[in-house]
Amino acid sequence: MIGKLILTQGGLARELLAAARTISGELAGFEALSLDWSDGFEEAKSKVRSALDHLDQGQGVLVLTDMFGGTPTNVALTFQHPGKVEILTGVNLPMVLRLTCPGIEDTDVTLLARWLLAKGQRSVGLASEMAAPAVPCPEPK
Amino acid sequence: MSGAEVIEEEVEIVNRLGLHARAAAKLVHTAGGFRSRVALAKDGEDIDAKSILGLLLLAAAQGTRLKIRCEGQDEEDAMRAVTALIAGRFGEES
Repeated sequence: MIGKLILTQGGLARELLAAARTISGELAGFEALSLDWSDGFEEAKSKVRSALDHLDQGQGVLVLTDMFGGTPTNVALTFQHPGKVEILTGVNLPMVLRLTCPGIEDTDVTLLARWLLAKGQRSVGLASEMAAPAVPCPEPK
Repeated sequence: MSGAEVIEEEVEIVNRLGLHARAAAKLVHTAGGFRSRVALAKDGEDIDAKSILGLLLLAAAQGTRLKIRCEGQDEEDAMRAVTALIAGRFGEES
Protein backbone atom coordinates (compact mmCIF):
# COMPACT_ATOMS: atom_id res chain seq x y z
CA MET A 1 0.00 0.00 0.00
CA ILE A 2 1.22 3.51 -0.84
CA GLY A 3 1.33 5.70 2.26
CA LYS A 4 -0.56 9.00 2.20
CA LEU A 5 0.71 11.96 4.19
CA ILE A 6 -1.30 15.17 4.48
CA LEU A 7 1.20 17.86 5.37
CA THR A 8 0.38 21.48 6.22
CA GLN A 9 1.17 24.20 8.70
CA GLY A 10 -1.37 24.77 11.46
CA GLY A 11 -4.24 22.39 12.10
CA LEU A 12 -5.36 22.12 8.46
CA ALA A 13 -3.85 18.67 7.83
CA ARG A 14 -5.38 17.23 10.98
CA GLU A 15 -8.81 18.67 10.23
CA LEU A 16 -8.79 17.56 6.58
CA LEU A 17 -8.10 14.00 7.65
CA ALA A 18 -10.73 14.23 10.41
CA ALA A 19 -13.31 15.41 7.87
CA ALA A 20 -12.42 12.60 5.45
CA ARG A 21 -12.72 10.06 8.26
CA THR A 22 -16.13 11.42 9.26
CA ILE A 23 -17.33 10.99 5.70
CA SER A 24 -15.56 7.84 4.64
CA GLY A 25 -14.80 5.93 7.82
CA GLU A 26 -11.46 4.73 9.16
CA LEU A 27 -8.66 5.27 6.63
CA ALA A 28 -5.72 2.91 6.64
CA GLY A 29 -2.35 4.16 5.46
CA PHE A 30 -3.16 7.85 6.01
CA GLU A 31 -1.43 10.22 8.37
CA ALA A 32 -1.79 13.96 8.99
CA LEU A 33 1.18 16.08 9.98
CA SER A 34 0.38 19.60 11.11
CA LEU A 35 3.65 21.52 11.40
CA ASP A 36 3.86 24.31 13.95
CA TRP A 37 4.06 27.80 12.43
CA SER A 38 7.17 28.31 14.55
CA ASP A 39 8.97 25.16 13.32
CA GLY A 40 12.28 25.93 11.62
CA PHE A 41 13.27 24.19 8.37
CA GLU A 42 15.42 21.52 10.05
CA GLU A 43 12.84 20.84 12.73
CA ALA A 44 10.12 20.48 10.09
CA LYS A 45 12.38 18.24 8.03
CA SER A 46 12.94 15.89 10.92
CA LYS A 47 9.19 15.61 11.56
CA VAL A 48 8.52 14.92 7.89
CA ARG A 49 11.31 12.34 7.73
CA SER A 50 9.88 10.36 10.62
CA ALA A 51 6.35 10.49 9.16
CA LEU A 52 7.67 9.24 5.79
CA ASP A 53 9.64 6.43 7.46
CA HIS A 54 6.57 5.45 9.39
CA LEU A 55 4.24 5.43 6.36
CA ASP A 56 6.49 3.82 3.76
CA GLN A 57 5.77 0.13 3.50
CA GLY A 58 7.99 -0.24 0.45
CA GLN A 59 5.71 1.29 -2.17
CA GLY A 60 6.43 4.88 -1.32
CA VAL A 61 4.45 7.78 0.05
CA LEU A 62 2.23 10.36 -1.61
CA VAL A 63 2.53 13.70 0.21
CA LEU A 64 -0.37 16.14 -0.09
CA THR A 65 0.63 19.68 0.88
CA ASP A 66 -1.35 22.87 1.32
CA MET A 67 0.43 25.41 -0.90
CA PHE A 68 3.35 25.59 -3.28
CA GLY A 69 6.10 27.76 -1.85
CA GLY A 70 5.13 27.15 1.76
CA THR A 71 7.42 25.42 4.25
CA PRO A 72 5.56 22.07 4.17
CA THR A 73 5.99 21.83 0.39
CA ASN A 74 9.57 23.10 0.48
CA VAL A 75 10.50 20.56 3.13
CA ALA A 76 8.66 17.73 1.38
CA LEU A 77 10.46 18.53 -1.90
CA THR A 78 13.78 17.63 -0.28
CA PHE A 79 12.46 14.05 -0.07
CA GLN A 80 10.95 13.90 -3.58
CA HIS A 81 12.08 10.86 -5.53
CA PRO A 82 10.22 9.38 -8.54
CA GLY A 83 8.50 6.14 -7.63
CA LYS A 84 9.23 6.70 -3.94
CA VAL A 85 7.99 10.07 -2.68
CA GLU A 86 5.81 12.43 -4.72
CA ILE A 87 4.35 15.73 -3.58
CA LEU A 88 1.00 16.98 -4.80
CA THR A 89 0.26 20.50 -3.65
CA GLY A 90 -3.05 22.35 -3.20
CA VAL A 91 -4.74 19.57 -1.24
CA ASN A 92 -8.49 19.75 -0.80
CA LEU A 93 -11.14 17.51 0.73
CA PRO A 94 -12.32 15.96 -2.56
CA MET A 95 -8.73 14.85 -3.26
CA VAL A 96 -8.43 13.17 0.12
CA LEU A 97 -11.82 11.50 -0.31
CA ARG A 98 -10.93 10.27 -3.80
CA LEU A 99 -7.96 8.44 -2.31
CA THR A 100 -10.35 6.44 -0.12
CA CYS A 101 -12.25 4.93 -3.05
CA PRO A 102 -11.63 1.32 -4.10
CA GLY A 103 -9.60 0.39 -7.14
CA ILE A 104 -7.10 3.26 -7.07
CA GLU A 105 -3.54 2.83 -8.27
CA ASP A 106 -1.68 1.47 -5.30
CA THR A 107 1.69 0.38 -6.55
CA ASP A 108 3.25 3.36 -8.34
CA VAL A 109 3.26 6.60 -6.36
CA THR A 110 4.12 8.76 -9.37
CA LEU A 111 1.15 7.40 -11.35
CA LEU A 112 -1.09 7.87 -8.32
CA ALA A 113 0.05 11.49 -7.96
CA ARG A 114 -0.65 12.28 -11.62
CA TRP A 115 -4.06 10.61 -11.48
CA LEU A 116 -5.03 12.50 -8.32
CA LEU A 117 -3.83 15.77 -9.85
CA ALA A 118 -6.43 15.40 -12.61
CA LYS A 119 -9.15 14.52 -10.10
CA GLY A 120 -8.24 17.46 -7.89
CA GLN A 121 -8.34 19.92 -10.77
CA ARG A 122 -11.79 18.70 -11.72
CA SER A 123 -13.02 19.23 -8.15
CA VAL A 124 -12.63 23.02 -8.38
CA GLY A 125 -15.26 25.04 -10.19
CA LEU A 126 -18.34 27.20 -10.02
CA ALA A 127 -20.83 24.99 -8.19
CA SER A 128 -23.63 26.33 -10.40
CA GLU A 129 -21.83 24.98 -13.44
CA MET A 130 -20.80 21.63 -12.04
CA ALA A 131 -22.98 18.86 -13.36
CA ALA A 132 -22.34 15.21 -13.97
CA PRO A 133 -19.74 14.97 -16.76
CA ALA A 134 -19.38 11.91 -18.91
CA VAL A 135 -17.00 9.84 -16.80
CA PRO A 136 -16.33 6.53 -18.45
CA CYS A 137 -16.61 3.66 -16.02
CA PRO A 138 -13.65 1.32 -15.80
CA GLU A 139 -14.15 -2.15 -17.17
CA PRO A 140 -14.65 -4.80 -14.53
CA LYS A 141 -11.39 -6.44 -13.46
CA MET B 1 -24.50 -17.55 -17.95
CA SER B 2 -24.65 -15.10 -15.07
CA GLY B 3 -22.82 -11.84 -15.66
CA ALA B 4 -23.05 -11.97 -19.44
CA GLU B 5 -25.28 -8.94 -19.71
CA VAL B 6 -25.78 -5.67 -17.93
CA ILE B 7 -28.60 -5.66 -15.42
CA GLU B 8 -30.44 -2.45 -14.74
CA GLU B 9 -32.88 -1.16 -12.12
CA GLU B 10 -34.41 2.22 -11.44
CA VAL B 11 -34.38 3.57 -7.91
CA GLU B 12 -35.44 6.74 -6.16
CA ILE B 13 -33.29 8.60 -3.66
CA VAL B 14 -35.58 8.67 -0.61
CA ASN B 15 -33.46 10.06 2.22
CA ARG B 16 -33.98 13.72 3.03
CA LEU B 17 -30.37 14.82 2.47
CA GLY B 18 -30.10 13.10 -0.92
CA LEU B 19 -26.85 11.65 -2.20
CA HIS B 20 -24.62 13.78 0.05
CA ALA B 21 -21.00 13.09 0.97
CA ARG B 22 -21.44 10.48 3.70
CA ALA B 23 -24.15 8.69 1.73
CA ALA B 24 -21.95 8.70 -1.37
CA ALA B 25 -19.05 7.29 0.65
CA LYS B 26 -21.26 4.43 1.86
CA LEU B 27 -22.34 3.75 -1.70
CA VAL B 28 -18.71 3.72 -2.88
CA HIS B 29 -17.76 1.23 -0.19
CA THR B 30 -20.77 -0.97 -0.90
CA ALA B 31 -20.12 -0.98 -4.65
CA GLY B 32 -16.41 -1.45 -4.01
CA GLY B 33 -17.12 -4.73 -2.29
CA PHE B 34 -18.02 -6.29 -5.64
CA ARG B 35 -15.95 -7.07 -8.69
CA SER B 36 -18.71 -6.00 -11.05
CA ARG B 37 -18.78 -2.62 -12.68
CA VAL B 38 -21.47 -0.58 -10.91
CA ALA B 39 -22.74 2.59 -12.53
CA LEU B 40 -25.41 5.15 -11.76
CA ALA B 41 -27.12 7.21 -14.41
CA LYS B 42 -29.23 10.32 -13.95
CA ASP B 43 -29.56 11.88 -17.38
CA GLY B 44 -28.22 9.12 -19.51
CA GLU B 45 -24.57 9.47 -18.52
CA ASP B 46 -23.06 6.58 -16.57
CA ILE B 47 -21.18 7.53 -13.41
CA ASP B 48 -18.82 5.06 -11.77
CA ALA B 49 -20.38 4.18 -8.40
CA LYS B 50 -16.91 3.44 -7.04
CA SER B 51 -15.88 7.10 -7.41
CA ILE B 52 -17.08 9.49 -4.71
CA LEU B 53 -16.44 12.64 -6.76
CA GLY B 54 -18.46 11.28 -9.67
CA LEU B 55 -21.37 10.42 -7.38
CA LEU B 56 -21.34 13.86 -5.79
CA LEU B 57 -21.39 15.48 -9.23
CA LEU B 58 -24.69 13.70 -9.89
CA ALA B 59 -26.23 16.22 -7.45
CA ALA B 60 -28.99 13.71 -6.70
CA ALA B 61 -31.40 15.28 -4.22
CA GLN B 62 -34.29 13.53 -2.49
CA GLY B 63 -36.78 12.39 -5.10
CA THR B 64 -34.20 11.97 -7.87
CA ARG B 65 -34.65 8.82 -9.92
CA LEU B 66 -31.48 7.02 -10.91
CA LYS B 67 -30.75 4.01 -13.04
CA ILE B 68 -28.33 1.50 -11.56
CA ARG B 69 -26.41 -0.68 -13.96
CA CYS B 70 -24.30 -3.62 -12.82
CA GLU B 71 -22.13 -5.76 -15.03
CA GLY B 72 -19.86 -8.60 -14.02
CA GLN B 73 -19.81 -11.98 -12.38
CA ASP B 74 -21.36 -10.79 -9.08
CA GLU B 75 -23.72 -8.26 -10.65
CA GLU B 76 -26.86 -9.59 -8.98
CA ASP B 77 -25.37 -9.42 -5.49
CA ALA B 78 -24.04 -5.94 -6.24
CA MET B 79 -27.46 -4.78 -7.43
CA ARG B 80 -29.16 -6.18 -4.33
CA ALA B 81 -26.67 -4.49 -2.01
CA VAL B 82 -26.80 -1.10 -3.74
CA THR B 83 -30.59 -0.98 -4.05
CA ALA B 84 -30.98 -2.04 -0.38
CA LEU B 85 -28.60 0.72 0.73
CA ILE B 86 -30.52 3.39 -1.20
CA ALA B 87 -33.97 2.10 -0.15
CA GLY B 88 -32.71 1.95 3.45
CA ARG B 89 -31.92 5.69 3.31
CA PHE B 90 -28.20 4.94 3.68
CA GLY B 91 -28.91 4.07 7.30
CA GLU B 92 -30.15 7.61 8.01
CA GLU B 93 -33.24 8.37 10.09
CA SER B 94 -35.16 10.33 7.49
